[in-house]
Amino acid sequence: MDVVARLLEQATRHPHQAAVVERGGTISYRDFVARAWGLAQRLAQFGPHPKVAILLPQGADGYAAMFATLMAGGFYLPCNTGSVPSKLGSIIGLFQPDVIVGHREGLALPDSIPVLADLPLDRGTPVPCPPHRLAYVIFTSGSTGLPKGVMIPRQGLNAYTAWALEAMSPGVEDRWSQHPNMGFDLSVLDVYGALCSGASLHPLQSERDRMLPGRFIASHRLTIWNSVPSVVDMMAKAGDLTPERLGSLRLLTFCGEPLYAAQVAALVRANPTAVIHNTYGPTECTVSCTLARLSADDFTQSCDDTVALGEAIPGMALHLVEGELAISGPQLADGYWQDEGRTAEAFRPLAVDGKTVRAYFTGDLVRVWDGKLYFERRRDTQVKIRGYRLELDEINAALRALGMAEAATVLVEGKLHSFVVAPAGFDPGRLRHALENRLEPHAVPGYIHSLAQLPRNANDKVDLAALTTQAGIAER
Amino acid sequence: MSMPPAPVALIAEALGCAESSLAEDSRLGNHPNWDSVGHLSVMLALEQHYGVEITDETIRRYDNVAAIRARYTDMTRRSALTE
Repeated sequence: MDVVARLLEQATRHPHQAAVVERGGTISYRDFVARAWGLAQRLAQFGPHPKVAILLPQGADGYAAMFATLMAGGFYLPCNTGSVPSKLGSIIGLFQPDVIVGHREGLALPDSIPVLADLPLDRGTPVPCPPHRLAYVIFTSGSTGLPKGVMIPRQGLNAYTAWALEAMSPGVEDRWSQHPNMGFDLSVLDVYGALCSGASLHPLQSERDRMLPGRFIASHRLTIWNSVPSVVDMMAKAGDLTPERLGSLRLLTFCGEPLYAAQVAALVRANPTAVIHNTYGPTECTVSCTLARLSADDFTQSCDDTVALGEAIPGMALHLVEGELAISGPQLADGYWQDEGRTAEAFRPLAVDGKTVRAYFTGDLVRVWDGKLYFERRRDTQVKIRGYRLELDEINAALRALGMAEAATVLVEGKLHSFVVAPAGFDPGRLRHALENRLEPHAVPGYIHSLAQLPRNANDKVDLAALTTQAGIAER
Repeated sequence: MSMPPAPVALIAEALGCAESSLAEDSRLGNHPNWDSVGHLSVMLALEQHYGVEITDETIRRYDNVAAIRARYTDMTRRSALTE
């Protein structure tokens, strides 16, 4: 079943139920659909399959713009409005939308791109247009310094949503968090999981709410929480892993980085009746494609120091190829936006039981322990910082673009260390400021070290192991 | 009335770094330990010791050593006046 049909079904069955509860008020399912349908009709003027960049923060308008695009038969680019303007400009420039929904202030974009800033209401009965093959194109870090767009087909989104509704059983009694920003595909679970099931969606829109999520959970009596695992550390630091803060939750779901056994133990101490889902999956497989279902009684059976990745969800299959995890199934992306070379590298035919399937090679090396899969490390220099996927070469490319003759970056104990061969008159403060204008905050290195030359190994490659050691010494 | 901890010592303890690593222009984003998690620690310390309510405004205002020092100076001046 298509996600638009699911939304319309919920709006018909529960028109007055809260769809989105945000700072400006509560929006019912009936009003939410009126917003989406009103915008869909304006988008239709851009052709049968409008290409829409959504530049709106987390909230009812942003979610309505997603559904509106799909109703109009189009596909969209979800943007993180908190990103640095140069990055947003770069992504929108690559996507070349027919129209922007939202606000473009501060962005260097051609005036020729039309902007729709308001979402008009239309309370008529929506008649969705025939869909495009794609649902959305979402951009992730790219090693050349240019972000790469992952093309997610509508059937992938529909398959993923169907799984979420089955596995999480959300309904009108549920109050569901919306923590990840719109440019992070983990938000897809919230938006489609909640609004296709009759649950109410609660975006964390203020800096205070994002800093103190435990207090937000308690004040809204949330029943479903979805985030990256490092948010649990924020809750712990704030003293919020308590029954008073987390007691209303029936389900917590995590994705984007390894979930640690100690984090699960702390959560079940605070709420022994809640179920915890650990999920895994690259953006290229529509948010996630595995599930480990944990409870207070049995979670230790699925843990090493981290929680196991879990089993493949229905329709998806996991394949181990020389230690690397490859994935096949209906949630696979079509490839990378206007990048056939990278698409051919990452999406390759794979022989499985005498048949050939199309598989995405994740670059994740995994180990098998006690019959379960655990994430081990990357085969390249991609890292995760608070769930954000980051190619270290993206930082190096930015450093070179800013005049550094050579640059290499390593991640040590959660901190980024960049090593540069700098020109005369090097000013680390000025370099950092310039990086802040090019990179998202999580990608700006904590330390910048200037060296006369970068160490090389026997193959004359930059010796990252030596730099890692040097970074460890610097941190101490 | 006991004096609240001086700003740099308070910030250093919250961030888990040496006081010597903090300068007057240190702020969220330009110190290795002052990231979003570090800023939460700083805000919790300000809440506990200086009575700062954690709001969107205070999260933005007290994101640097100079602003926290100004808050401390104001507190100690008021404290001196009431003694």
